Amino acid sequence: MLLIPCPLCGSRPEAEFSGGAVSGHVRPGDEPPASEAAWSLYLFGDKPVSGARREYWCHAHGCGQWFLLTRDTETGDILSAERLPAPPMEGAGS
Amino acid sequence: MALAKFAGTRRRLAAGLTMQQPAWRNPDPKARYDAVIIGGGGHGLAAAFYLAKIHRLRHTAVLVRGWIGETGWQLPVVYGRGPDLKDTVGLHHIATTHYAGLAGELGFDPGTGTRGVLDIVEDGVGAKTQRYAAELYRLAGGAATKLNHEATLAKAGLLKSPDASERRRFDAVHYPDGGIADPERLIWAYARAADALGVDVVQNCDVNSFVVEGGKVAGLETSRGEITTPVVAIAAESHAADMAALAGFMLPLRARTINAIATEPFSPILDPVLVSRSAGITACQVPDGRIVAWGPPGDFASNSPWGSGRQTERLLSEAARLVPGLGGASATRRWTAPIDLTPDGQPIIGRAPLDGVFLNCGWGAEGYAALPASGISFAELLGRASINDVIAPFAPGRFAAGASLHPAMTPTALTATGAPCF
Repeated sequence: MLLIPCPLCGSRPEAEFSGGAVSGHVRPGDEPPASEAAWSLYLFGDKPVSGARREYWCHAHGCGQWFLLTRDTETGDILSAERLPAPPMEGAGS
Repeated sequence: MALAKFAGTRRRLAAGLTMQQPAWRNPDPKARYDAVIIGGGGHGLAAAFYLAKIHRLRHTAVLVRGWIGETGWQLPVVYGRGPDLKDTVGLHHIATTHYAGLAGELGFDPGTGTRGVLDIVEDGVGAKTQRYAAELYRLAGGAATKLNHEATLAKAGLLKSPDASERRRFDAVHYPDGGIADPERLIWAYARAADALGVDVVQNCDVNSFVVEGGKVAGLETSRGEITTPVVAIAAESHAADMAALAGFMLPLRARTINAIATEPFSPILDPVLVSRSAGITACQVPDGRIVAWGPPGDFASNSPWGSGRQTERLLSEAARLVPGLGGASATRRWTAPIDLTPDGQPIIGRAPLDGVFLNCGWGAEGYAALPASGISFAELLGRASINDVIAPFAPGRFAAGASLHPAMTPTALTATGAPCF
């Protein structure tokens, strides 16, 4: 069982978490319409890399917060866990 | 005096034991081949074997990263269960018919045992898909029989609960032609047979880059020198994505692990292979007496030997619930087997975006079950550049085209073409 350090709750067992989608995937824009290749890469491009990987995880059965986890897929080591930057407030200036 | 009579036999026996006759040559790569297959696992070696045997293409090489048989898989091969998808049933049925005679065909026993496979559900949950799979399999020409609760317990007494008050009901489909094989022996068998037909099985050979000329593959740069070839097949399963990246394209694969446990050895208590849809686990007793069980893949990317702890915990609790009769048995070993999953869970077989490159990967946990059929069809693709009906659905371009394969949940179309099997 992995012990995942939630930035808010501290180390908790893996069973409390969900997620694992790799971060840095940017959804192709609509203007101009993205190519089929760009969409394929966005939808299916979760390349099975060995080594460090930055992912989104959610402490689903805990505080419910999403955060960024850097994890080594080969050794199972957790390298770092960071809070996501706060989303900009609606209508908070420019 | 009596001993002197056997002295000759003893000498020959001792010589035989120390001779270390290699099962295959260990050749250096030649400068040129008609076709090169990257990956010395089951699919690569089987393709090389059938390419040599059926299509007489013998000036070929199989490049292996390490040594033959270093698979890291360590789960028994289970073949002969009907899949839930009509597109894969042909592949599985052909593979099963080949498994029965594989020892004779290859001249080496891959440890096959036709034990039968029991596809079971508890209390009717999943019974519809189970029957759909069985009907598909029968239409493809295979054998499948429906068993009621009592008949299921008669086949696998281990499922009987020691607690008489228990009320769960099993429904099973029995696939009598199914069974198990040893994955390493299977790979050795194909390696021996391919080598005997003149295929170069080149071990400890890493591929560093692809040589491309005029938009077409022209060869490979390897750690053991440059190889010129017009045809490159990528059958490197868990390293297929790395090879594709070298060739300049992306494969829609996800690295996952399957979590497995093994008990201490028992005397024979479980003959058929159990596949439980309700518990999501497969269990069988391997020839050395241990009962090996494994579950569905973990849900995050991993190729670590630890895999997912959550999945292992689930596997243990579900196994204990499924076979309460095993009571005090302890899991003496746990490990993980790496798999590559495609978005629809079905393999990728066909032409790659780079001309002259062919793909056979993304098998998930079903690769060994389909192995002989995969080898025959892939050899046909490599040797004749023709895609047969069996592998046509698995084209690499299906994801981008929005034509992913998913099980059809409506068996109405089936019953229209043939009478219901049960």
